[in-house]
Amino acid sequence: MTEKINKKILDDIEQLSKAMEKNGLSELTYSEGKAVYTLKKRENGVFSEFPEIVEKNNKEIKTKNLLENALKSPLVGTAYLSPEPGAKKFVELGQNVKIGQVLLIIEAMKTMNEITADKNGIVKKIFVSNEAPVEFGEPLILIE
Amino acid sequence: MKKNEFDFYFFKEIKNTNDEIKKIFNLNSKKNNIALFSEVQLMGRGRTKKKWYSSFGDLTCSFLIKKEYPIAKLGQINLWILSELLSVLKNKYPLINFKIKWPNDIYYKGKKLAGILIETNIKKDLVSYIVFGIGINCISAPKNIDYPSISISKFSDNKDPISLFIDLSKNITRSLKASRKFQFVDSDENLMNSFKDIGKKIKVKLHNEVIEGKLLKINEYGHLILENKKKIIKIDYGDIV
Repeated sequence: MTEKINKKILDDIEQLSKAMEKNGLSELTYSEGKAVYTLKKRENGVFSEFPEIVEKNNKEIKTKNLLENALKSPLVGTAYLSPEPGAKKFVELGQNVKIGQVLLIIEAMKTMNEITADKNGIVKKIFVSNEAPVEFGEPLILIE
Repeated sequence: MKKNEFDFYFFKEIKNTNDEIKKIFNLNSKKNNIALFSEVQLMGRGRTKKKWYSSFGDLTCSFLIKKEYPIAKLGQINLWILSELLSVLKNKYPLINFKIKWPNDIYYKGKKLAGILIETNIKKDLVSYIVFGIGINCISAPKNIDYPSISISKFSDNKDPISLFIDLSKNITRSLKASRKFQFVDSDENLMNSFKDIGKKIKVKLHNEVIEGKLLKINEYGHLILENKKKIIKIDYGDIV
């Protein structure tokens, strides 16, 4: 996914460079969706995208991938990261988990619902805090 | 063991009936449904941070139903369990006017008599099994709690917890055999009329707010339906305060 998007960015830059050349422009800002490109003509005649913009776009892509791969909340309710107040958390960052292992509880519809791991792996990120309200589809935990 | 029937477990004393039943199930998940009774429960709990206090002679039991259900059925599962408990109590004590306090407590004369704690295990988008603990004050009415409580012994001598447990098991088994889908609808007037505070103004505490309104009814999904300034409000989470 990241490689595909990076290739698209490079293609876009190439096309924009050609458009600048053709129209004799020294600077051009172009946006498409969330991506914003600003190109400036260097003195030696080579075009370049600002490096900080590339970095920003890469960060956005990384975050998007994190959210897409995370286990999502199947229901609206309140998240609990430990079985009872003061008890040890179900899982910690960096912990190995197995399919079916309880990761957290969501209280919803008057029931306490154990949310289980959908794959084996390591807990890379916990998106919710204890006793926080969660929405349907909200990322809960990233397992990689 | 036939499907929809229970494997029975009896204990003298355990920490928590819901935890124990899950432990038994996790040791052998090929098991069918499980029913568990303990004479004494040391660490009873309710929803969120609430505790359930009981003594020897009270009913503390749990049931585990191994069956997959869509998450959307959660509210109906809650109503189904309530209706089974209410039906057992009404059969045993036909002259007593029990009331349900939303979401899952049984009251008599404004005092709490019984409570249910439902826990589920969710795999992807399906409930893979349901565990529900039922506590009934048969002989004790705890005073160290923030609500008034009452026990069966205040209105009947027929207060044997084992007998209540067997009746509950039979009722639930019968119900599971009769209906495999929890097709609960609000035409069950008997249950819907048993809810406390229908027609009265109530306050419901949500995460960070309190909502006030006249309680119109509980719908077929177990939601509270309130009316406030001619607006209809549906609530599926919170506590009546």
